[in-house]
Amino acid sequence: MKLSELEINKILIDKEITLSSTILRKYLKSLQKESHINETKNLPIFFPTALIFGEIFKNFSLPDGTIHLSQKILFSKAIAQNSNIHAFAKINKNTVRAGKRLISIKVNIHSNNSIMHESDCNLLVS
Amino acid sequence: MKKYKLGYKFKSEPIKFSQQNVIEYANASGDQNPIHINKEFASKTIFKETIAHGMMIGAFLGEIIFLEYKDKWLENGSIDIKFKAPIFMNEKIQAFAEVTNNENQIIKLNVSVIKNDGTEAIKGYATIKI
Repeated sequence: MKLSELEINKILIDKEITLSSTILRKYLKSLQKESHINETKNLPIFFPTALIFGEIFKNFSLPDGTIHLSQKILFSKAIAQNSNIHAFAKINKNTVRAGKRLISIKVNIHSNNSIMHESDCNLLVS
Repeated sequence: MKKYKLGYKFKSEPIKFSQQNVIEYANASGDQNPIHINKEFASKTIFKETIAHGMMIGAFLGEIIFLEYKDKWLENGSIDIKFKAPIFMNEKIQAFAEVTNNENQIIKLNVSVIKNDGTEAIKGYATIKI
């Protein structure tokens, strides 16, 4: 199913995810920032959200020509490597303006019943 | 501390991301959108060639802030960025940041990623609780 066909509040993901250091190493290699893993046990800010988006895009296809407009992440606690987190994401907005569709996705990351990261992503579908 | 003071600036070294880097990012993150990894597909889009993931460049910017503020950056804060222009393969880019506010133990940084031709690819701000 396409993301653009989904209604507001449709839940995109609601499950436990392990943020493994194996995937982290590959992620950091792609960024040419492998030194991160030697300097801290905590994860890069964008890493958990990136994995969650990857999971969402596996399940819901993005229409051709989709552009990532903006990204906001609020974080109140560091997330350690190899943590298990609970990922929750839903459609926050799905509107058409001037012939362009704007899709907003809200992602929350919890661990032990406390919120760690909250993020908002805006996509423009031409 | 100097790095918390108003007007303090820092930047990354210029960097290029290759198609191989972008494929590695797609494999690690799971975001396999063909606009990033399939040249034939990308040639039919408005960009005409593959572009880096916005989240990949955002992550690069996040790592530049990490190099400066270490775990303080990972513990409590925010980042709010707009993707203003695509970044193509092997395009030279550089990340910039400047402290623009320091109140109530929270610093605010204006952040950007600029392409070699001067085009602003990412613009936004970050906050860090210190």
